[in-house]
Amino acid sequence: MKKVFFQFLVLVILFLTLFGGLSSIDFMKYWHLQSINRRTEDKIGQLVIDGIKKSNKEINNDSVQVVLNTIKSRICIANSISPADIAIHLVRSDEVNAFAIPGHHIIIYTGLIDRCDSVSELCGVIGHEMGHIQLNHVMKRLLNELGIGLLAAVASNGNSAVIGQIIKILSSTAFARKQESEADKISVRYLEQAHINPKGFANIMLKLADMHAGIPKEMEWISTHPDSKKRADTILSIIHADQSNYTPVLTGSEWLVLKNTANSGY
Amino acid sequence: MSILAEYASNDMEREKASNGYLMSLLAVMVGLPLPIVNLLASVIFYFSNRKSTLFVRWHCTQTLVSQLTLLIVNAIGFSWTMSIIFGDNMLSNEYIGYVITIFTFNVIEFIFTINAAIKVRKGQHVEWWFWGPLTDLICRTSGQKTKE
Repeated sequence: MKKVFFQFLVLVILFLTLFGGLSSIDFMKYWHLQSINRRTEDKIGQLVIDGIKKSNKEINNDSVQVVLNTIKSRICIANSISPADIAIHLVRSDEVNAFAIPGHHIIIYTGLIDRCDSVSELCGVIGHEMGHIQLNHVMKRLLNELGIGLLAAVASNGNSAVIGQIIKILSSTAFARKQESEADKISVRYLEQAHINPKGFANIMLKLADMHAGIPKEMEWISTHPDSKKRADTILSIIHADQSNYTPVLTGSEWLVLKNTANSGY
Repeated sequence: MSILAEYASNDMEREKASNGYLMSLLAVMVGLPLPIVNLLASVIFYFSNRKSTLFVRWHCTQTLVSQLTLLIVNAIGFSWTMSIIFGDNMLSNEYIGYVITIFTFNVIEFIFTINAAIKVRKGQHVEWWFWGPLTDLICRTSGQKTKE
């Protein structure tokens, strides 16, 4: 018995030593795994953007880009994220929507900006989508729904039917409840770090709740998209009440540039 | 040392005992990447030879307990992989280190199994480190005098 126990211990130590030793090697760096992953993701992201642009117009005039970059930089820099790592695209659509796509892109529809009464509301949404990106929810979701094979095929041959499927998945259905909740929490954290009032995020959630008022309450439990009112309540509950050093993100005229662009139809 | 070290097995015993090892090898090739298939093969073979001679039983038990140990480490690797593909985990150096570790142990076990299958077929008693003494305990063959 003692012999068995001793040999078992030696075997376990051998296993753990090998595992520990191998874990300390930076395989991700030496095998360029992170860059391969990112290259594939960027390729898919570009294909998705091209697909979106086919059916919707992207608004990329300089004044709008400057305003969006101001918002992005404020949130990113305060949270040690490189602003160059995230791209925000404003797309013409009446739909009140924003979503993250592969390659660290955020698509915002003009319908959403039209609904926002303040910059902080928009910042909350952007922070939320940044949260999905930083937590790698986007690629994980696509891997889950489409599989590695299909994604690899899209990256290599740009199958338009699959691109369409990806756009539909990312723009019209929510992430899992847990992932939406995580992105909400991270958005509040990002905004507080950037001295942006996170109550704006709760406000836009309440507006969404009003929009979805027709959906029966019972459906909330089987829906992967948690009730917006509940999300607003959760956001309000995690905001640090003692923080008040919020500062404006945009000037009045900069905000007007965005609002007018959203309303103008151009 | 097991009493079987000096035991003179007959041809039928050698064939059956060797088949126990071969069964697990075959099941590995058929059942990858699921870690349970080779264990199932060993379990089936063990139960089908439970009433056989000590030599056959002993070697079926040795291959069974080694498969059981591998099942545990392989199952951890399998569920870690599934959690990366379908869950919230991400590819990491620890995961790659673990996969290489269990791959190494699986390859070593594979080689030892082939070696055991060949030697046992020739009538030699093969006792693996740790799994041999463990099998002795299970089969209660340690310190016994042979009577077969």
